[in-house]
Amino acid sequence: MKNPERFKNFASIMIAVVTVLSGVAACLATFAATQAGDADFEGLVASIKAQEADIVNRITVFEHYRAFTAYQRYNQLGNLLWEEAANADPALAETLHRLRREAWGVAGGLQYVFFPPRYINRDGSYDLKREFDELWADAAQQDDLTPEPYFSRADALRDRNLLLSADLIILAAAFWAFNLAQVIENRLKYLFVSLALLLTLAGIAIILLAQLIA
Amino acid sequence: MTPEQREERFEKFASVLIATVTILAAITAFLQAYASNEADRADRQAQDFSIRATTTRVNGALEFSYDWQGAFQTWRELDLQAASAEQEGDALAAERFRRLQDHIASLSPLLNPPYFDEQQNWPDPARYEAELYLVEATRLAEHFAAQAELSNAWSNIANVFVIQLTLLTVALSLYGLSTTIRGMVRWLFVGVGSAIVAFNLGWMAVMLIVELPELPAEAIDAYAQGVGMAYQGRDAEAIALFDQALAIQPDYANALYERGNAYFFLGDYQQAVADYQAAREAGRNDVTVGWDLGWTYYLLGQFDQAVLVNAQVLALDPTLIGIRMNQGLALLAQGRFDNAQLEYQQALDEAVRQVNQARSTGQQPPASLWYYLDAGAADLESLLDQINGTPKPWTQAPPPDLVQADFARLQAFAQEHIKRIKEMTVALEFTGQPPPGPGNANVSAFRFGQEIYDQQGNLVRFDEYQTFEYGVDEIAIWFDFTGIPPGAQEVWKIYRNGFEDQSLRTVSEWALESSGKGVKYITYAYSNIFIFAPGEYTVELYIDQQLVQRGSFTVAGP
Repeated sequence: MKNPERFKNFASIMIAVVTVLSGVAACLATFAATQAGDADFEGLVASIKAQEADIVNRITVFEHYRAFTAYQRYNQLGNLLWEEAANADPALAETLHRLRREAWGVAGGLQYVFFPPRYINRDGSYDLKREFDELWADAAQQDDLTPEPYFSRADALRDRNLLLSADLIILAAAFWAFNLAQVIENRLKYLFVSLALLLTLAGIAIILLAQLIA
Repeated sequence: MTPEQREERFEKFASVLIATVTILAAITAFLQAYASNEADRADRQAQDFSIRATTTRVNGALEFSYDWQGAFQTWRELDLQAASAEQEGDALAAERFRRLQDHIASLSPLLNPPYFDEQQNWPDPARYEAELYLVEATRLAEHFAAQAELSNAWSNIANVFVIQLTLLTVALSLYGLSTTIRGMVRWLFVGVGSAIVAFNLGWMAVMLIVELPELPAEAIDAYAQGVGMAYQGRDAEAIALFDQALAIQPDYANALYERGNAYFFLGDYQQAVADYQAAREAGRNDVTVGWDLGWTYYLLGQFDQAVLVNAQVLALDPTLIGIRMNQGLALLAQGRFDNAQLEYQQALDEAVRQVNQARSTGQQPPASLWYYLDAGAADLESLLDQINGTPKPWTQAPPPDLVQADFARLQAFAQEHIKRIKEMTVALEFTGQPPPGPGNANVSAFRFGQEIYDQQGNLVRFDEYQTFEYGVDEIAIWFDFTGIPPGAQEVWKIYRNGFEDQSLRTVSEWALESSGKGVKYITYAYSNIFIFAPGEYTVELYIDQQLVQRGSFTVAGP
């Protein structure tokens, strides 16, 4: 009469252990879901900052390019007037030179104030991409502009949450098997307790494995 | 079996039942977690797509702003300067400006093929915008909408599983309670608990096969390309792309609506109606689709349906002046003059309300208000042109044989309401109030022509024309007037081919005597560059917001 009592006590203790393990798994799953939400939020913040930087930089670059266009208009006008003056009679040449000086003066005034001449290429074009990339690099030094790592982390935490949720099924099955072992009076109870022990060990392994994700 | 044995046996049965339902609860919890995760993931993607769509649109608009108002405006200024120099015979200056133009053209893709038409000397901004950002922004916006819908669907499923978990908790409680009581009542508890579990199992099975609203990326891509084509007015190509999208996703509401628009612009109103209706059935039961559907029914002469759809849209938003006027128009075509009168009155009252409300709070009414008021009058004119057998190329009106109203009565009604709408528009725009009562101003019919002067600048004669030759740059309007108080507000509006050319609008105070002869010049002669574009021009004169005269002339083509 002593052995059945010991067996039932063992099964009861194991049921309690499985219940505690289920609580731990549920708690960790909830924690992972919360962390995933936080990571999503951080990713969206980074995404918004990145888009903001993109827009602000584009405004800056195209403001400069607009000024560069006006610069080109006057600078090239000065060049053409210079060419025309070279072939004109002296009186007309003086007029053309006056116009040329005026045009180049305007061009010079524009480049001193309204756009950075650093981005003018050797062929006279404006390096929009270089200016944009440099401004982007500046913005990236000041803020985190890369949302992808946060989103990846959120996805991994969701995977952890899902794994732990699945673990609850295994632990519930262990709980069921221990319960059955407790109520069965014949040798079959050893089969169920063995199954329950295996499921419990698997449940513990999954809890540990889930912590390795993310 | 002793009662104790029976009791022990029941308790064992209950504990196994509880353990079994616990597994079911664990499975439900897993499914709830899965659905909730998918909802969060789709929600995040929707937000990300939304942010990216906005940025793409803003960045594209910024870039286009440079291309249009930076590069093209500069190019155009140089073009005008070159044209002016050519007119003055200054070939050297003209050549200089042309070379500068070429230099500026190198700064923007808009000024180069395939976006620039050398023959017309004008860029194709619609194609440029479509390819620069519109297609991509549309694609991202569609992905946003699709992900948001998917997120909602997953959220609903997750919520259902939460309810199921609650029900399973109730079932577990009933099983637990059944072990504390005796007799038949315990079996009642077990029975109810088991019924709940069975119900849950069935519900769970249904949730596992529920169809999610997923929109394939290929359908979205084809749709976005179609929107880009439609934006360029390439409606046949747009239809082919919308067909592709609909072949993948037959109930793609946006594609149905946009294909309806493309058919509309191609003049296939029947097909447009079919697509608008399908779009509504697929979920686009909004004001925009209803508005277009009602208008297309009107153009087809299906006035009953037009009135019905307009009423549905007005039930959604009774402040829509444009659709209120459409309703008046459809009722007028049916010959229901009293109802039409009521709709027009409500539309004008609503316009007054919106202007007053905005201005009383230091704000402005929507810019579209002026457009819809103008369009309301233009639609009445189109209906008149149609029933009079003089439709214009821009006329949109139903076939005259389908108009059910008495033509003579319709003419009088339309003329009266065109005047009312026009006067209301001018009065609201310039005073914020409805027009005052009729004044005493009287202006004779306009005489359009050209004044001929001698070498000393004396007027020799007035050559009157109804149709001017191509190349005219100044037109004089002669008229007689009485009863105009000095200092009265004087507004001249000029319409070309049915649309106001606001660059020719003038607003001033009446500087002449109260009666006499007047002359008004519409002119481009201030420069040596512009002439009147070919077309039909209508001139309107408003004195103190009263439409006192209007007349038309034509400028012939080259």
